[in-house]
Amino acid sequence: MFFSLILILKILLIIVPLLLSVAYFTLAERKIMASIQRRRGPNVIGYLGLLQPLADGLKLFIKETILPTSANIFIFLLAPLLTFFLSLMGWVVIPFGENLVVANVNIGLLYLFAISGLSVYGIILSGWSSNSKYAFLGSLRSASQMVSYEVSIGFIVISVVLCCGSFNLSELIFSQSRVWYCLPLFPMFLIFFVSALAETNRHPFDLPEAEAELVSGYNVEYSAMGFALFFLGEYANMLLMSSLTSILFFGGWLPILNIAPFTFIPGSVWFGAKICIFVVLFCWIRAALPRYRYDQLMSLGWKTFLPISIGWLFFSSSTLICFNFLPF
Amino acid sequence: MILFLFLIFCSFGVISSRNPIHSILFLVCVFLLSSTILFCLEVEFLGLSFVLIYVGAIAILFLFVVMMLDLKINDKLFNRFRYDLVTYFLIYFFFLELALPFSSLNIYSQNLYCSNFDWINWSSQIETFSNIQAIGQVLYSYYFIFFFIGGFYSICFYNRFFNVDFNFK
Repeated sequence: MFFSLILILKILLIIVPLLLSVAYFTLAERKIMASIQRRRGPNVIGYLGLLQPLADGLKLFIKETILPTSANIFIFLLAPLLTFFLSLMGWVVIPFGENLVVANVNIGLLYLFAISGLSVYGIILSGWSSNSKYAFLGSLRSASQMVSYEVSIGFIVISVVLCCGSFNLSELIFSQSRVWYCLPLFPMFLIFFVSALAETNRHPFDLPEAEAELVSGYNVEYSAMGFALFFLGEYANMLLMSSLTSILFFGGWLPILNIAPFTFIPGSVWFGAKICIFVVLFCWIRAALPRYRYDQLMSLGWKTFLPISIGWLFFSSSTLICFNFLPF
Repeated sequence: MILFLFLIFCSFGVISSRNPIHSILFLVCVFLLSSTILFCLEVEFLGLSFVLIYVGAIAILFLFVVMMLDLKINDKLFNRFRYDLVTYFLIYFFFLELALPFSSLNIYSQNLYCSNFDWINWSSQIETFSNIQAIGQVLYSYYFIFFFIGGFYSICFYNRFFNVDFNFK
Protein backbone atom coordinates (compact mmCIF):
# COMPACT_ATOMS: atom_id res chain seq x y z
CA MET A 1 0.00 0.00 0.00
CA PHE A 2 2.62 2.46 1.18
CA PHE A 3 5.00 1.35 -1.55
CA SER A 4 2.44 1.80 -4.33
CA LEU A 5 1.53 5.23 -2.93
CA ILE A 6 5.17 6.26 -3.15
CA LEU A 7 5.36 4.90 -6.68
CA ILE A 8 2.30 6.88 -7.77
CA LEU A 9 3.78 9.97 -6.15
CA LYS A 10 7.04 9.44 -8.04
CA ILE A 11 5.20 9.10 -11.34
CA LEU A 12 3.15 12.22 -10.66
CA LEU A 13 6.32 14.09 -9.72
CA ILE A 14 7.62 13.41 -13.20
CA ILE A 15 4.44 13.80 -15.23
CA VAL A 16 3.13 17.07 -13.77
CA PRO A 17 6.33 19.11 -14.25
CA LEU A 18 6.75 17.47 -17.65
CA LEU A 19 3.30 18.60 -18.81
CA LEU A 20 3.92 22.07 -17.38
CA SER A 21 7.22 22.28 -19.22
CA VAL A 22 5.54 21.10 -22.43
CA ALA A 23 2.97 23.87 -22.02
CA TYR A 24 5.65 26.48 -21.49
CA PHE A 25 7.72 25.01 -24.32
CA THR A 26 4.92 26.03 -26.70
CA LEU A 27 4.90 29.53 -25.21
CA ALA A 28 8.69 29.75 -25.42
CA GLU A 29 8.60 28.64 -29.02
CA ARG A 30 6.09 31.32 -29.95
CA LYS A 31 7.96 33.99 -28.03
CA ILE A 32 11.35 33.09 -29.49
CA MET A 33 10.02 32.93 -33.02
CA ALA A 34 8.27 36.24 -32.49
CA SER A 35 11.43 37.92 -31.31
CA ILE A 36 13.38 36.49 -34.25
CA GLN A 37 10.76 37.91 -36.60
CA ARG A 38 10.66 41.19 -34.62
CA ARG A 39 7.13 40.75 -33.29
CA ARG A 40 5.82 40.70 -29.74
CA GLY A 41 4.31 37.24 -29.69
CA PRO A 42 1.52 36.29 -27.27
CA ASN A 43 1.31 39.03 -24.67
CA VAL A 44 -2.36 39.51 -23.81
CA ILE A 45 -3.37 36.74 -21.45
CA GLY A 46 -1.67 37.01 -18.09
CA TYR A 47 1.50 38.94 -17.35
CA LEU A 48 3.63 38.98 -20.55
CA GLY A 49 1.31 36.30 -21.97
CA LEU A 50 2.40 33.76 -19.39
CA LEU A 51 -1.09 32.24 -19.12
CA GLN A 52 -1.38 31.75 -22.88
CA PRO A 53 -0.69 27.96 -22.86
CA LEU A 54 -3.39 27.44 -20.23
CA ALA A 55 -5.85 29.36 -22.38
CA ASP A 56 -4.87 27.28 -25.40
CA GLY A 57 -5.38 24.10 -23.42
CA LEU A 58 -8.80 25.28 -22.25
CA LYS A 59 -9.78 26.09 -25.83
CA LEU A 60 -8.78 22.61 -27.00
CA PHE A 61 -10.57 21.05 -24.04
CA ILE A 62 -13.95 22.66 -24.62
CA LYS A 63 -13.99 22.15 -28.38
CA GLU A 64 -16.19 19.47 -29.85
CA THR A 65 -14.67 16.06 -30.52
CA ILE A 66 -15.47 15.11 -34.09
CA LEU A 67 -15.36 11.48 -35.13
CA PRO A 68 -15.33 11.10 -38.93
CA THR A 69 -18.05 8.72 -40.11
CA SER A 70 -15.72 6.76 -42.38
CA ALA A 71 -13.04 6.37 -39.73
CA ASN A 72 -12.16 3.21 -37.91
CA ILE A 73 -13.29 4.54 -34.54
CA PHE A 74 -11.39 2.24 -32.19
CA ILE A 75 -8.01 2.77 -33.83
CA PHE A 76 -8.84 6.44 -34.40
CA LEU A 77 -9.24 6.91 -30.66
CA LEU A 78 -6.36 4.60 -29.76
CA ALA A 79 -3.71 6.42 -31.81
CA PRO A 80 -3.46 9.73 -29.87
CA LEU A 81 -3.54 7.87 -26.56
CA LEU A 82 -0.69 5.65 -27.75
CA THR A 83 1.41 8.61 -28.87
CA PHE A 84 0.86 10.47 -25.62
CA PHE A 85 1.57 7.52 -23.33
CA LEU A 86 4.68 6.51 -25.24
CA SER A 87 6.05 10.03 -25.04
CA LEU A 88 5.54 9.93 -21.26
CA MET A 89 6.96 6.42 -20.86
CA GLY A 90 10.43 7.38 -22.03
CA TRP A 91 10.95 9.70 -19.07
CA VAL A 92 11.08 6.83 -16.61
CA VAL A 93 14.76 6.12 -17.29
CA ILE A 94 15.99 9.71 -17.61
CA PRO A 95 18.21 10.65 -14.64
CA PHE A 96 17.58 14.22 -13.50
CA GLY A 97 20.48 14.23 -11.09
CA GLU A 98 22.70 11.89 -9.19
CA ASN A 99 20.36 9.07 -8.05
CA LEU A 100 17.35 11.15 -9.14
CA VAL A 101 15.76 8.57 -11.44
CA VAL A 102 12.60 6.48 -11.23
CA ALA A 103 14.00 3.32 -12.78
CA ASN A 104 17.76 2.93 -12.93
CA VAL A 105 17.65 0.24 -15.63
CA ASN A 106 20.91 -1.13 -16.93
CA ILE A 107 19.65 -1.10 -20.51
CA GLY A 108 18.10 2.35 -20.35
CA LEU A 109 19.31 3.47 -23.76
CA LEU A 110 17.85 0.39 -25.45
CA TYR A 111 14.59 1.04 -23.62
CA LEU A 112 14.47 4.61 -24.93
CA PHE A 113 15.19 3.28 -28.39
CA ALA A 114 12.40 0.75 -28.22
CA ILE A 115 9.97 3.41 -27.01
CA SER A 116 10.86 5.73 -29.87
CA GLY A 117 10.44 2.81 -32.27
CA LEU A 118 6.96 2.17 -30.90
CA SER A 119 5.90 5.78 -31.18
CA VAL A 120 5.85 5.38 -34.96
CA TYR A 121 2.72 3.27 -34.49
CA GLY A 122 0.68 6.13 -33.06
CA ILE A 123 1.33 8.19 -36.16
CA ILE A 124 0.82 5.44 -38.70
CA LEU A 125 -2.39 4.25 -37.04
CA SER A 126 -3.83 7.74 -36.86
CA GLY A 127 -3.13 8.32 -40.52
CA TRP A 128 -4.66 5.04 -41.61
CA SER A 129 -7.69 5.04 -39.37
CA SER A 130 -8.89 8.54 -40.22
CA ASN A 131 -9.46 7.33 -43.78
CA SER A 132 -8.38 10.50 -45.54
CA LYS A 133 -5.79 10.91 -48.26
CA TYR A 134 -3.94 13.78 -46.65
CA ALA A 135 -3.71 12.16 -43.27
CA PHE A 136 -2.60 8.87 -44.79
CA LEU A 137 0.14 10.45 -46.92
CA GLY A 138 1.33 12.52 -43.99
CA SER A 139 1.51 9.52 -41.72
CA LEU A 140 3.40 7.44 -44.29
CA ARG A 141 5.88 10.25 -44.79
CA SER A 142 6.43 10.82 -41.14
CA ALA A 143 6.70 7.12 -40.31
CA SER A 144 9.26 6.43 -43.03
CA GLN A 145 11.22 9.48 -41.95
CA MET A 146 11.27 8.38 -38.33
CA VAL A 147 12.27 4.83 -39.21
CA SER A 148 15.10 5.88 -41.50
CA TYR A 149 16.62 8.38 -39.10
CA GLU A 150 16.33 5.95 -36.23
CA VAL A 151 18.94 3.77 -37.93
CA SER A 152 21.65 6.44 -37.93
CA ILE A 153 20.73 7.44 -34.38
CA GLY A 154 21.23 3.82 -33.39
CA PHE A 155 24.75 3.73 -34.82
CA ILE A 156 25.66 7.00 -33.09
CA VAL A 157 24.33 5.68 -29.81
CA ILE A 158 26.40 2.53 -30.25
CA SER A 159 29.58 4.54 -30.76
CA VAL A 160 28.81 6.52 -27.59
CA VAL A 161 28.11 3.31 -25.70
CA LEU A 162 31.46 1.90 -26.85
CA CYS A 163 33.20 4.86 -25.26
CA CYS A 164 31.30 4.44 -22.02
CA GLY A 165 30.82 0.69 -21.73
CA SER A 166 27.28 0.68 -20.46
CA PHE A 167 23.70 1.19 -21.61
CA ASN A 168 22.83 2.67 -18.25
CA LEU A 169 22.17 6.40 -18.55
CA SER A 170 23.56 7.25 -15.11
CA GLU A 171 26.78 5.40 -15.84
CA LEU A 172 26.95 7.16 -19.19
CA ILE A 173 26.92 10.48 -17.36
CA PHE A 174 29.44 9.32 -14.73
CA SER A 175 31.82 8.31 -17.50
CA GLN A 176 31.74 11.88 -18.80
CA SER A 177 33.09 13.40 -15.60
CA ARG A 178 36.53 13.90 -17.22
CA VAL A 179 35.36 15.19 -20.58
CA TRP A 180 31.93 15.52 -22.13
CA TYR A 181 31.45 13.35 -25.20
CA CYS A 182 30.64 16.39 -27.35
CA LEU A 183 34.38 17.09 -27.58
CA PRO A 184 35.80 13.75 -28.79
CA LEU A 185 32.65 12.82 -30.67
CA PHE A 186 31.80 16.25 -32.03
CA PRO A 187 30.71 15.20 -35.56
CA MET A 188 28.50 12.54 -34.02
CA PHE A 189 26.89 15.18 -31.84
CA LEU A 190 26.02 17.27 -34.89
CA ILE A 191 24.58 14.29 -36.74
CA PHE A 192 22.68 13.17 -33.67
CA PHE A 193 21.07 16.56 -33.24
CA VAL A 194 20.04 16.79 -36.89
CA SER A 195 18.69 13.25 -36.74
CA ALA A 196 16.80 14.18 -33.60
CA LEU A 197 15.20 17.04 -35.53
CA ALA A 198 14.14 14.58 -38.22
CA GLU A 199 13.03 11.99 -35.69
CA THR A 200 10.67 14.42 -33.98
CA ASN A 201 9.37 15.71 -37.34
CA ARG A 202 10.61 19.22 -36.68
CA HIS A 203 11.80 21.93 -39.03
CA PRO A 204 13.59 21.80 -41.43
CA PHE A 205 12.34 18.22 -41.77
CA ASP A 206 8.68 18.80 -40.98
CA LEU A 207 7.46 17.36 -44.27
CA PRO A 208 4.67 15.37 -42.62
CA GLU A 209 2.88 18.63 -41.93
CA ALA A 210 3.87 20.57 -45.01
CA GLU A 211 1.00 23.03 -44.92
CA ALA A 212 1.00 23.74 -48.62
CA GLU A 213 0.81 20.10 -49.68
CA LEU A 214 -0.77 18.06 -46.95
CA VAL A 215 -2.88 20.52 -44.93
CA SER A 216 -1.37 19.41 -41.62
CA GLY A 217 -0.23 15.83 -41.94
CA TYR A 218 -1.41 12.82 -39.99
CA ASN A 219 -3.58 14.76 -37.55
CA VAL A 220 -5.86 16.59 -39.97
CA GLU A 221 -8.98 14.76 -38.90
CA TYR A 222 -8.42 15.21 -35.20
CA SER A 223 -10.08 17.97 -33.26
CA ALA A 224 -10.19 18.89 -29.57
CA MET A 225 -8.51 16.48 -27.15
CA GLY A 226 -7.27 14.05 -29.78
CA PHE A 227 -5.27 16.84 -31.37
CA ALA A 228 -4.18 18.06 -27.95
CA LEU A 229 -2.79 14.63 -27.08
CA PHE A 230 -0.84 14.50 -30.35
CA PHE A 231 0.45 17.99 -29.72
CA LEU A 232 1.52 17.21 -26.16
CA GLY A 233 3.11 13.95 -27.27
CA GLU A 234 5.09 15.67 -30.00
CA TYR A 235 6.45 18.36 -27.71
CA ALA A 236 7.20 15.86 -24.93
CA ASN A 237 9.14 13.84 -27.51
CA MET A 238 11.10 16.94 -28.43
CA LEU A 239 11.97 17.53 -24.79
CA LEU A 240 12.95 13.87 -24.48
CA MET A 241 15.25 14.09 -27.48
CA SER A 242 16.90 17.27 -26.20
CA SER A 243 17.42 15.70 -22.79
CA LEU A 244 18.85 12.61 -24.47
CA THR A 245 21.25 14.81 -26.44
CA SER A 246 22.38 16.52 -23.25
CA ILE A 247 22.82 13.15 -21.53
CA LEU A 248 24.74 11.53 -24.37
CA PHE A 249 26.99 14.42 -25.31
CA PHE A 250 26.80 17.17 -22.66
CA GLY A 251 27.19 15.23 -19.45
CA GLY A 252 23.62 15.39 -18.13
CA TRP A 253 23.67 16.81 -14.63
CA LEU A 254 27.45 17.43 -14.53
CA PRO A 255 28.61 21.06 -14.16
CA ILE A 256 30.79 22.65 -16.83
CA LEU A 257 33.90 22.53 -14.68
CA ASN A 258 34.26 20.59 -11.49
CA ILE A 259 35.40 23.67 -9.53
CA ALA A 260 33.84 25.45 -6.56
CA PRO A 261 31.42 28.06 -7.98
CA PHE A 262 29.98 25.61 -10.50
CA THR A 263 29.55 22.73 -8.09
CA PHE A 264 27.33 24.82 -5.75
CA ILE A 265 24.56 24.74 -8.33
CA PRO A 266 22.56 21.49 -8.00
CA GLY A 267 22.84 18.94 -10.80
CA SER A 268 19.19 19.03 -11.85
CA VAL A 269 19.49 22.76 -12.50
CA TRP A 270 22.45 22.09 -14.79
CA PHE A 271 20.44 19.40 -16.56
CA GLY A 272 17.47 21.76 -17.01
CA ALA A 273 19.73 24.48 -18.36
CA LYS A 274 21.21 22.10 -20.92
CA ILE A 275 17.74 20.99 -22.01
CA CYS A 276 16.74 24.65 -22.34
CA ILE A 277 19.67 25.32 -24.66
CA PHE A 278 18.49 22.57 -27.00
CA VAL A 279 14.88 23.74 -26.80
CA VAL A 280 15.96 27.22 -27.87
CA LEU A 281 17.98 25.63 -30.66
CA PHE A 282 14.89 23.72 -31.82
CA CYS A 283 12.89 26.98 -32.01
CA TRP A 284 15.73 28.91 -33.61
CA ILE A 285 16.11 26.30 -36.36
CA ARG A 286 12.36 26.39 -36.98
CA ALA A 287 12.45 30.15 -37.47
CA ALA A 288 15.63 30.27 -39.52
CA LEU A 289 15.69 27.38 -41.97
CA PRO A 290 13.53 26.55 -45.00
CA ARG A 291 11.95 23.14 -45.43
CA TYR A 292 13.78 20.26 -47.15
CA ARG A 293 12.40 18.47 -50.18
CA TYR A 294 11.34 14.90 -49.45
CA ASP A 295 13.92 13.13 -51.61
CA GLN A 296 16.63 15.40 -50.19
CA LEU A 297 15.57 14.36 -46.73
CA MET A 298 15.72 10.67 -47.56
CA SER A 299 19.07 10.91 -49.34
CA LEU A 300 20.47 12.88 -46.40
CA GLY A 301 19.35 10.14 -44.04
CA TRP A 302 20.35 7.04 -45.98
CA LYS A 303 23.25 8.22 -48.15
CA THR A 304 25.00 10.70 -45.89
CA PHE A 305 24.26 10.19 -42.21
CA LEU A 306 24.12 6.41 -42.22
CA PRO A 307 27.53 5.87 -43.93
CA ILE A 308 29.16 8.56 -41.80
CA SER A 309 27.82 7.11 -38.57
CA ILE A 310 28.83 3.57 -39.54
CA GLY A 311 32.30 4.82 -40.51
CA TRP A 312 32.60 6.69 -37.25
CA LEU A 313 31.57 3.56 -35.38
CA PHE A 314 34.41 1.64 -37.03
CA PHE A 315 36.83 4.51 -36.45
CA SER A 316 36.01 4.95 -32.79
CA SER A 317 36.00 1.25 -32.03
CA SER A 318 39.34 0.71 -33.74
CA THR A 319 40.80 3.74 -31.94
CA LEU A 320 39.58 2.39 -28.64
CA ILE A 321 41.10 -1.00 -29.35
CA CYS A 322 44.40 0.48 -30.62
CA PHE A 323 45.06 2.57 -27.52
CA ASN A 324 43.53 0.00 -25.21
CA PHE A 325 40.92 2.51 -24.09
CA LEU A 326 38.01 0.06 -24.07
CA PRO A 327 36.17 0.55 -20.80
CA PHE A 328 35.36 -3.13 -20.22
CA MET B 1 -0.91 -17.55 -17.49
CA ILE B 2 -3.20 -14.67 -18.40
CA LEU B 3 -0.43 -13.39 -20.65
CA PHE B 4 -0.33 -16.72 -22.45
CA LEU B 5 -4.09 -16.71 -22.91
CA PHE B 6 -3.93 -13.21 -24.37
CA LEU B 7 -1.09 -14.31 -26.62
CA ILE B 8 -3.03 -17.26 -27.97
CA PHE B 9 -6.09 -15.09 -28.49
CA CYS B 10 -4.03 -12.52 -30.40
CA SER B 11 -2.38 -15.13 -32.57
CA PHE B 12 -5.80 -16.48 -33.47
CA GLY B 13 -6.69 -12.90 -34.33
CA VAL B 14 -3.74 -12.73 -36.71
CA ILE B 15 -4.99 -15.59 -38.85
CA SER B 16 -8.71 -15.07 -38.54
CA SER B 17 -9.27 -11.35 -39.07
CA ARG B 18 -10.48 -10.28 -42.49
CA ASN B 19 -8.74 -6.93 -42.63
CA PRO B 20 -4.99 -7.42 -43.23
CA ILE B 21 -4.14 -4.33 -41.21
CA HIS B 22 -6.04 -5.67 -38.22
CA SER B 23 -4.17 -8.92 -38.50
CA ILE B 24 -0.85 -7.06 -38.52
CA LEU B 25 -1.93 -5.14 -35.45
CA PHE B 26 -2.71 -8.45 -33.78
CA LEU B 27 0.75 -9.62 -34.81
CA VAL B 28 2.25 -6.56 -33.11
CA CYS B 29 0.24 -7.47 -30.01
CA VAL B 30 1.68 -10.98 -30.15
CA PHE B 31 5.23 -9.61 -30.32
CA LEU B 32 4.61 -7.23 -27.46
CA LEU B 33 3.07 -9.93 -25.29
CA SER B 34 5.92 -12.33 -25.96
CA SER B 35 8.42 -9.63 -25.05
CA THR B 36 6.42 -9.06 -21.87
CA ILE B 37 6.77 -12.75 -21.10
CA LEU B 38 10.52 -12.42 -21.64
CA PHE B 39 10.49 -9.48 -19.23
CA CYS B 40 8.69 -11.60 -16.66
CA LEU B 41 11.42 -14.21 -17.08
CA GLU B 42 13.96 -11.42 -16.36
CA VAL B 43 15.54 -11.61 -19.81
CA GLU B 44 15.25 -7.86 -20.31
CA PHE B 45 17.78 -7.59 -23.10
CA LEU B 46 16.11 -10.17 -25.30
CA GLY B 47 12.70 -8.70 -24.55
CA LEU B 48 13.81 -5.22 -25.55
CA SER B 49 15.50 -6.46 -28.68
CA PHE B 50 12.27 -8.27 -29.55
CA VAL B 51 10.43 -4.96 -29.32
CA LEU B 52 13.17 -3.16 -31.24
CA ILE B 53 13.54 -5.58 -34.09
CA TYR B 54 10.17 -7.20 -34.58
CA VAL B 55 7.82 -4.43 -33.51
CA GLY B 56 9.97 -1.45 -34.41
CA ALA B 57 11.23 -2.60 -37.77
CA ILE B 58 9.68 -5.72 -39.26
CA ALA B 59 6.05 -5.12 -38.34
CA ILE B 60 6.28 -1.55 -39.59
CA LEU B 61 7.60 -2.84 -42.90
CA PHE B 62 4.66 -5.24 -43.11
CA LEU B 63 2.28 -2.44 -42.25
CA PHE B 64 3.78 -0.25 -44.96
CA VAL B 65 3.51 -2.94 -47.58
CA VAL B 66 -0.06 -3.78 -46.71
CA MET B 67 -1.11 -0.14 -46.66
CA MET B 68 0.58 0.62 -49.96
CA LEU B 69 -0.80 -2.42 -51.75
CA ASP B 70 -4.35 -1.61 -50.66
CA LEU B 71 -5.48 -5.23 -50.66
CA LYS B 72 -9.11 -5.89 -51.34
CA ILE B 73 -9.92 -9.34 -50.13
CA ASN B 74 -12.68 -11.19 -51.85
CA ASP B 75 -14.35 -13.57 -49.44
CA LYS B 76 -14.97 -16.27 -52.00
CA LEU B 77 -11.35 -16.38 -53.08
CA PHE B 78 -10.15 -16.22 -49.53
CA ASN B 79 -9.88 -19.88 -48.76
CA ARG B 80 -8.53 -20.17 -45.26
CA PHE B 81 -7.86 -23.89 -45.39
CA ARG B 82 -5.92 -24.00 -48.61
CA TYR B 83 -2.71 -24.75 -46.80
CA ASP B 84 -4.14 -27.56 -44.72
CA LEU B 85 -1.45 -30.14 -45.23
CA VAL B 86 1.44 -27.76 -44.73
CA THR B 87 -0.12 -26.46 -41.55
CA TYR B 88 -0.54 -29.90 -40.09
CA PHE B 89 3.03 -30.79 -40.96
CA LEU B 90 4.30 -27.64 -39.32
CA ILE B 91 2.22 -28.24 -36.20
CA TYR B 92 3.47 -31.82 -36.06
CA PHE B 93 7.11 -30.77 -36.29
CA PHE B 94 6.60 -28.03 -33.75
CA PHE B 95 5.23 -30.44 -31.20
CA LEU B 96 7.98 -32.88 -32.05
CA GLU B 97 10.54 -30.20 -31.28
CA LEU B 98 8.78 -29.41 -28.04
CA ALA B 99 8.76 -33.06 -27.06
CA LEU B 100 12.40 -33.72 -27.91
CA PRO B 101 14.06 -32.29 -24.81
CA PHE B 102 11.86 -34.49 -22.64
CA SER B 103 12.42 -37.65 -24.60
CA SER B 104 15.36 -39.99 -24.23
CA LEU B 105 16.46 -39.30 -27.79
CA ASN B 106 18.31 -36.12 -26.90
CA ILE B 107 19.86 -34.63 -30.03
CA TYR B 108 20.54 -31.33 -28.31
CA SER B 109 23.40 -32.71 -26.33
CA GLN B 110 26.37 -30.54 -25.48
CA ASN B 111 28.78 -32.45 -27.75
CA LEU B 112 26.98 -31.58 -30.95
CA TYR B 113 26.29 -27.97 -30.33
CA CYS B 114 29.38 -26.74 -28.55
CA SER B 115 32.86 -26.48 -29.86
CA ASN B 116 35.40 -28.38 -27.90
CA PHE B 117 37.40 -26.02 -25.81
CA ASP B 118 37.26 -26.15 -22.06
CA TRP B 119 37.61 -22.68 -20.78
CA ILE B 120 36.00 -21.42 -17.65
CA ASN B 121 35.91 -17.76 -16.92
CA TRP B 122 36.66 -17.88 -13.21
CA SER B 123 35.76 -14.27 -12.65
CA SER B 124 32.26 -15.09 -13.84
CA GLN B 125 31.90 -17.52 -10.97
CA ILE B 126 32.41 -14.69 -8.51
CA GLU B 127 30.92 -11.62 -10.12
CA THR B 128 27.32 -11.16 -11.09
CA PHE B 129 26.69 -10.49 -14.73
CA SER B 130 24.16 -8.39 -16.50
CA ASN B 131 22.12 -9.92 -19.29
CA ILE B 132 24.11 -8.46 -22.15
CA GLN B 133 27.45 -9.52 -20.69
CA ALA B 134 26.23 -13.06 -20.18
CA ILE B 135 24.95 -13.32 -23.74
CA GLY B 136 28.16 -11.84 -25.10
CA GLN B 137 30.35 -14.22 -23.09
CA VAL B 138 28.55 -17.25 -24.46
CA LEU B 139 27.80 -16.04 -27.97
CA TYR B 140 31.31 -14.95 -28.87
CA SER B 141 33.14 -17.90 -27.35
CA TYR B 142 31.22 -21.18 -27.20
CA TYR B 143 28.72 -20.54 -29.95
CA PHE B 144 31.02 -18.46 -32.10
CA ILE B 145 30.76 -20.73 -35.15
CA PHE B 146 26.98 -20.71 -35.12
CA PHE B 147 26.95 -16.95 -34.68
CA PHE B 148 29.35 -16.63 -37.59
CA ILE B 149 27.32 -18.90 -39.85
CA GLY B 150 24.13 -17.02 -38.99
CA GLY B 151 25.74 -13.69 -39.74
CA PHE B 152 27.20 -14.96 -43.01
CA TYR B 153 23.85 -16.37 -44.07
CA SER B 154 22.06 -13.11 -43.39
CA ILE B 155 24.72 -11.14 -45.28
CA CYS B 156 24.30 -13.43 -48.30
CA PHE B 157 20.55 -13.05 -48.06
CA TYR B 158 20.71 -9.26 -47.97
CA ASN B 159 23.17 -9.16 -50.85
CA ARG B 160 20.76 -11.12 -52.94
CA PHE B 161 17.87 -8.99 -51.81
CA PHE B 162 19.59 -5.74 -52.68
CA ASN B 163 20.93 -6.98 -56.00
CA VAL B 164 17.41 -7.60 -57.10
CA ASP B 165 16.02 -4.32 -55.91
CA PHE B 166 18.64 -1.76 -56.78
CA ASN B 167 18.39 -0.08 -60.12
CA PHE B 168 21.52 1.93 -60.68
CA LYS B 169 20.79 5.07 -62.61
